[in-house]
Amino acid sequence: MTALTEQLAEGLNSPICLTWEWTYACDLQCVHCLSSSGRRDPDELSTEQMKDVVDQLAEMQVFYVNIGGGEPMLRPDFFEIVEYCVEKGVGVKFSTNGGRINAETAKRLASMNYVDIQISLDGVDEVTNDAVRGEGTYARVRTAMNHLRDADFGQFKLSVVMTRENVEQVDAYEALANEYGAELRLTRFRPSGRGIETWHDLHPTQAQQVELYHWLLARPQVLTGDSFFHLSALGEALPGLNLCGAGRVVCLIDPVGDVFACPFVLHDEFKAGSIHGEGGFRAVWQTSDLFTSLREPSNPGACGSCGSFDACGGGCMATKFFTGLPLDAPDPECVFGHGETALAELEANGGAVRPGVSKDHSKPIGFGKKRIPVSIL
Amino acid sequence: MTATLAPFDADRHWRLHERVALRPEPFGALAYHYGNRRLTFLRSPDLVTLVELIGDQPDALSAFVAAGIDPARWPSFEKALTSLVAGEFLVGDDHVTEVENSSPSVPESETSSRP
Repeated sequence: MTALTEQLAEGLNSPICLTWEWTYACDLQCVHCLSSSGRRDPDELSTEQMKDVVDQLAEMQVFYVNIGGGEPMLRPDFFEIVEYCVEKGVGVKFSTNGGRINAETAKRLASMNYVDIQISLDGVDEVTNDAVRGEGTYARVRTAMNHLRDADFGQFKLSVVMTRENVEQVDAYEALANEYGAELRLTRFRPSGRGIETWHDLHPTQAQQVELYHWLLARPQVLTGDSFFHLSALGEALPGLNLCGAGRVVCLIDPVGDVFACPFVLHDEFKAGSIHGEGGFRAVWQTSDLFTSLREPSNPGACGSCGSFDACGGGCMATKFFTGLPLDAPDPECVFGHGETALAELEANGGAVRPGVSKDHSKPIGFGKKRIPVSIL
Repeated sequence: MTATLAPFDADRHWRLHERVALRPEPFGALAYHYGNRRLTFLRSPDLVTLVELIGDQPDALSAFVAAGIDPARWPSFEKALTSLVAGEFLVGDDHVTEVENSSPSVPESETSSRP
């Protein structure tokens, strides 16, 4: 670790990168959804409560928030809260499945100078994308992208979760992003939410990860949200801070106001508190027991004897947790295969006990459009 | 021991870009540029002091003195200021102030640092 990352690991007055999920409601049922979204939660924050959170973030000088869900545009007060954020000096970057981007909303978004959009697409063709995101979604996203272009929105981000099926399409993604003047953002598939079950069949293979590492190394302009820091153990570090930021520089506020260590650990074990508690979000960020413990030096555990521990820090906490590994085990996708060995040992000893989801908002199977079974992949 | 090292011109007036915000942190401060969405780390309290008062001084050298920075350390501060100029966190008098059309805010582009 550098001197800077050591300091960052001890925590900051406010998060650098705050993810705020606005609703669990979603019209899609993506097989890798990290928040198991689908149905709205009756306890989701009201418009007034949302604005109160924005006030707190502005006071803490949180420069910008990453808005997600669920599908945030399904909130009837979506534009009202976005405008309130902008008014308070809290920048907005929101992730959307594109379903609510039409000619009218695209124009409205384009008129707001301080809003960035990340639009999700998980395959460069209909077959690959729709197997993950649902039937008809490829065509729908392309329509949404066309609306943004027609409305002169400017540069948006095309966001792709890397899977075994789409990781070899990266050149085509780059071309597609270029065609729209968009930025390309590739992120790691974590076994969170509905991904707990699907990750094992869909996460990139070791060989694919090595390819991806070299591809990314040659393209520092491709955004990754620093999500592939486990690959830095292969040699030269990828751009970014290269550390697990959970509770240190990153956290998540969920749609009902619960605060978690990162967007990929929506589980009671990583719940630090609630914005409804005394002192609000600031108290959770600055004094919660969970965040305090995450800011202490981590135990290298099984990785202690590996010469690359300084490069990867043992990898991603969420990925270990939801595959049933202890937090001081190697990352399941450790580039040296130590994680695969650890998982195989778990299997040999009676099978991994994988934690479930603490808050599952998935729609019942058969509700609306059918979820496409992973087996057809 | 003055502006001989870098392309940084310590003899001219510099100021923070009008859309840059500083947030105090244990290591110094985080600087965020609402215009180009860059985020950067000011990694010492002295650098923060320097950046905060640089706009009120006629030139950068005067700012070094005003911030009480030992001349032996000036080259390293010039280096830090050079990268702040490159990221448009600091601008010179030739910079045209942008039209104030709203309170500033935009997410970082994940360019200079990506947590």
